[in-house]
Amino acid sequence: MESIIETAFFIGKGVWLTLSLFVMSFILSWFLGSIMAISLHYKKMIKPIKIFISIFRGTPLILQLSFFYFVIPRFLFFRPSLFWASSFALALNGSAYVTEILRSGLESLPIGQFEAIKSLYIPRFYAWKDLILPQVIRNVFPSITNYSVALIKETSLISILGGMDITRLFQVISARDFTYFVPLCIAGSYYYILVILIEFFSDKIGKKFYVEH
Amino acid sequence: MLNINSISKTFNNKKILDNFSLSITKQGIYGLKGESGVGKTTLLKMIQNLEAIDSGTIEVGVKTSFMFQDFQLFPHFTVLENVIYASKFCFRSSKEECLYKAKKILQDLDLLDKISEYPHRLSGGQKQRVAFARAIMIGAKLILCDEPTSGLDFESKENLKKILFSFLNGESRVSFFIVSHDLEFLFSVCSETFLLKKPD
Amino acid sequence: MNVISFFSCLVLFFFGCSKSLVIEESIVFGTSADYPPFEYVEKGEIVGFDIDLAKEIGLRLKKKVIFKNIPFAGLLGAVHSGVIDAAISTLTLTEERQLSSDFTKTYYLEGLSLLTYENNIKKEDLSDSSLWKDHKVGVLLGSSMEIWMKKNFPHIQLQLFDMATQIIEAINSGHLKGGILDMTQSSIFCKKNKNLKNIFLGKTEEGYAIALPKKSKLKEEINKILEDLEKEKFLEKLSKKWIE
Repeated sequence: MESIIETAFFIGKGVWLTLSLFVMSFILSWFLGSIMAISLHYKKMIKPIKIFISIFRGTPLILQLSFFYFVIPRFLFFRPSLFWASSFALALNGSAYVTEILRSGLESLPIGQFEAIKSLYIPRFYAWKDLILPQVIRNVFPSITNYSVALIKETSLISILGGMDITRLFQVISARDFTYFVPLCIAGSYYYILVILIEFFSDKIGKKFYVEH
Repeated sequence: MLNINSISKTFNNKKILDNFSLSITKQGIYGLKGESGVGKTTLLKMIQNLEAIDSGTIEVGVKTSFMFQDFQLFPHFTVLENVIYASKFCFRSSKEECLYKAKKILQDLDLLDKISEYPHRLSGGQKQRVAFARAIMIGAKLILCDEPTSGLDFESKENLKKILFSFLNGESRVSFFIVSHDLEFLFSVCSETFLLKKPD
Repeated sequence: MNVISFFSCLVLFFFGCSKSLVIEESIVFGTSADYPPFEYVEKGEIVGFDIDLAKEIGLRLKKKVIFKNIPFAGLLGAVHSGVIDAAISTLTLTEERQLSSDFTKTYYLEGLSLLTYENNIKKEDLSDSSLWKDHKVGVLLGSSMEIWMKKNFPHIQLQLFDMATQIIEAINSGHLKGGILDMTQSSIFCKKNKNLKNIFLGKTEEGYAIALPKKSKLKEEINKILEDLEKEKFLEKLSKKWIE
């Protein structure tokens, strides 16, 4: 039987995987979500994007993950590792929500800003990069924080397929030592600490915006 | 400089503009007056290509820019950044030349002490001057102004008149096309004023 | 007074009798019903070799048998905490497991097999550590196969799954070089998947047994029943019914 400290260290090794999965999925989902939101703004590819969002919001993340990990390699000559399959699943699933967040943020931006950009002849790419998206992100910042908190908990899905994250390591030690309560609390605490950290940094970044305004 | 030929526009099944034409050839300050809701702002936006034209043509011989009634500065940029940003895409000047030009314009507009401020800390008159600086900076030769006097007090209006004249007659040689309800203002600055009537 | 006390005794007597008639004694077996042919779900019911065995044991103990479907890795924990009275689920009797639970005698000896895709690895390859830098083998989390692999082939990286079917899918999609399952399971998987081949690695020294809480009173009773069942060739009949 391992002591609580040893258990905590054992489960703590999973933090690395949880965090890297979170960061990768976050970046990919925002990249993809931005592209889709901008396309929708210019009324391009509306139907395909809506179908994409509908599918990824309408099916459970577990099934999407299994699909990427098991089914894709059979039909495409491309075999993502467990980390990448999970990142893709989380990214595609997340991008559906990100697109919605950005779309509502765009709608709340005054149309005059777009008109000002046009009357100053600013090229589209730079307009989005420096003028539109920064404002939108400031507006939807609370939604971004909510999304991040949900995402870091969703990374636990990788445990279903054997990824050694916080959740899986808790299950491993539980099976080994036949204890449940202590490892469960420790695993939960790790997630809780990560969420607190996310909220702390969001708060700091949010205050920085406030100072500017 | 500006030719508006038989412009028509329908909005929500209501005809707003019906075969309207006007022509501006010389530099100067021009006005557009008319009843409320008759389509003055819409016409101005059509010149800047912010609204679609249903029929007719608009020919513009010079670079235009638009002065919005609510200024539409970029809230997350400082005054200096607001002024300089768009000009990066127009000219190939170096960073130093850009900075020099911007500071000179801001000095002429008496805004040099506000260079690092954010728009939300400026008064209405100051924001308007930043908007001017922004338009001048990109080399616009005809600035379209939508109700520039709304919300300004007497002193600011006098100031605005001075600014318009100084840019018209100064180095930049900028012309203005002003839409306004303020007939007194139009009378005192415009060399010619056009009337937009309601379509029958 | 006498009449009243007589009638109250009568009432208490009948009450006492009916109580023992209404509350049947029951025994709760935990099992991980995702492991045909030992325990699996068919048409909404849990069936299999282990299930029939547990039902027969319950019959002979004169107790009602109730089954609880629990993920494999959680079974021993459930026995330990008293959620279930016993676990029957192809649980191999090992020294480690006996530290926390009591076990009956074994009722079935299983073989270990290596499941591969079209025989792409041979039995000898398992010992060659140079082959295993970038490849993994799949096993069930908490299974005796996991323990066996760690003991005999510590240089091979394991990917721990909850379901045997996940291991099969991972082999089919190329994520794993192979999987270690028991012989019965892997034979069935091979029948269903033409591309999979299984290689016999050896018979387990330890067999399957029923897990009980430490110092359980049922241990002796069940052991006696298992002895009887063996003499009556009941276990052989079950084997013929479910495994061959």
